[in-house]
Amino acid sequence: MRHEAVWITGVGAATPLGHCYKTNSAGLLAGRSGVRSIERFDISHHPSQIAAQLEPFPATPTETSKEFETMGIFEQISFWCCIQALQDSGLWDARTDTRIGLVFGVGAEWPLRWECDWFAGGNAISEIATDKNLLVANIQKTLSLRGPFTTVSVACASGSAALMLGKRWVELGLVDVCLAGGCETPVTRIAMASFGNLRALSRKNDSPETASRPFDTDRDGFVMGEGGAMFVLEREDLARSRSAKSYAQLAGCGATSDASHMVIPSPDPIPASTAMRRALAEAEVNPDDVNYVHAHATSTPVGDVGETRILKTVFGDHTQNMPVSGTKSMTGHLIAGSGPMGVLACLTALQRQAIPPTINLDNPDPECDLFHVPNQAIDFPVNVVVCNALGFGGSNVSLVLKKVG
Amino acid sequence: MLNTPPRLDWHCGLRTWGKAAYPANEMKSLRRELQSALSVPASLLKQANEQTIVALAAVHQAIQSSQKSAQDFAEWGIIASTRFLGRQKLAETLPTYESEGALAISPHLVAHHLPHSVSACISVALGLRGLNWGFGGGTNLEEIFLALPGVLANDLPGIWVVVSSWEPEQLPTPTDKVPETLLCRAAALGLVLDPRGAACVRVQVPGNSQVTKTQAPCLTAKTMFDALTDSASPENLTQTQWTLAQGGSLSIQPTKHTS
Repeated sequence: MRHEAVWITGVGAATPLGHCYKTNSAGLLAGRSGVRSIERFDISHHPSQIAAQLEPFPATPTETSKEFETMGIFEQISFWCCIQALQDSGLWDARTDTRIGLVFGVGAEWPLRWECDWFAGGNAISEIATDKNLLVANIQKTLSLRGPFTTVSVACASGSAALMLGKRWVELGLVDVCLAGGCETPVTRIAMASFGNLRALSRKNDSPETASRPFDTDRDGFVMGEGGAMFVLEREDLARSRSAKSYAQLAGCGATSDASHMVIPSPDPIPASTAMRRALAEAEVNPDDVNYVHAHATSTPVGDVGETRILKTVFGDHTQNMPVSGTKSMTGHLIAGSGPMGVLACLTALQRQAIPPTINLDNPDPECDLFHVPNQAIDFPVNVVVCNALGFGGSNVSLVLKKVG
Repeated sequence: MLNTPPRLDWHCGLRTWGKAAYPANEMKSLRRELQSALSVPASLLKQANEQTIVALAAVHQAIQSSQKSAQDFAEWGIIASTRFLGRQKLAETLPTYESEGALAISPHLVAHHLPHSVSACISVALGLRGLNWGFGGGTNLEEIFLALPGVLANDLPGIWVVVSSWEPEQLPTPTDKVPETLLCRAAALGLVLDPRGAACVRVQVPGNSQVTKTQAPCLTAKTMFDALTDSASPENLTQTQWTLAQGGSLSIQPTKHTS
């Protein structure tokens, strides 16, 4: 079925590179690293001791000033991104007159909250009374939104899955507008320990800024990151009727599963390439029309080679003409927020006609022979981009964005 | 301001279903049974959360009831809604970290005890190559059915919808002291987009967010479990409706949908 185009008309962001779209965009093009040593708790006995971390918020949103100060960091970034996205879209004052849905991607809402509470001296994990404090319900109520809401958990692909479902909700008419995206704050004791013991994290503790190095021969794992972004999705005709600005069209989405392993990427490129092909088909573009791929590119030895194989399966010889970059080199891996972070990079490419680089790519792995953008941004004509998210549990989500106008 | 708020009245076909309920002390044997029945590596189910194991048993039963094989569902997706998955495991982990440090923490925590883990493990165990996503994760299981119309709009031949929980909620306790009366329940629905010629699932969402006052119960894994018959036979199914806390309703209808 053919649907009205869905536009991204508002962006809210809180990442290690900044607290709005503009600062993120500038940081991405400047090749700035947000990775540093962890100091907020004793990390000395952990295998990995570095992460890309959020800076303090520059201001308290006046809309939630009382609550914001008492929130944990996860709730703070979630509210921050939602409020900023609605304000950016011009819908803030009209939010109670508009049916706005909320699809929120997060990998581990409750474990994160229980852990933070535990180390703050609480015991909410054993108290049933706190079980009803659902974040998405709290956001909907506090911001007086009138549409349905849901949390979607697809590990590292959660935020991209949220954007995909948000697009469907708009297309089905379930909502007029949808806030969609994802946030995560996994720079915690337990998450760092569990991922660290899985040997998924980089152990280049002496050199934080150069530790995340997708596609480089010296990569040894990903660097944890925190943050995320939320986006306002709405139909083109509605956006036009209110003269809304458009960042891009969310033109296509595809999702599959590897059905192979709980944590190890599949050696078979077909499932992930199928997700990408479905997204391209929905967007009505051919692989050769794609000008840029924001790769999932976590900087793990197995993952980056696997994604190279996936890209070659879909794009063939076009991979030699199509820039590919991995901005986790700068921001670390935001888990549920990583797909939305990739979308920020894609919007930057579409709006600035420039490709954010993969920093620390000094010696490209011969098994990752793509058209890389090492260390410095390049000017490049960009009309169609692909943003990949590949998660634990074998989840693959690909998004296609198109330039508007 | 933008347009008249829409109202969703959506149907899909219910092709098969299954359900399972087990106490904590039967989990070990259930893991072995499923490993044998599905020919999956022992390592996959050994570390899996109890809700995952019971949910897998429910899907396995649904496949058996359909008289098809798991391979027939290879292109299907799976979405799962759990209730506080990993609570017990994390409660055991937190003091371990404090007493023994980071190196004592299980790497399986992030793979098997987060909200995506149920759909992911079942996808791996049964070879399901459609999307595998988790929804909700807290007290309320209804979000998965609000998401369902959007999920099934993705050219999937079908989708497994799985809900699971401990009821009443299993608060952390020494694992050898979980009451035998406490059951982990799961229900699995095998759904296809085309509602014709079978029982169906109907989701109705009003144009505003007000909750419609009805006598229908709230959706839980237990009420879903109770609504499903042991065998996936539409003629034995009775119509059941649930009120959605966000507004609207979910219903299972045994009659054939023809429109």
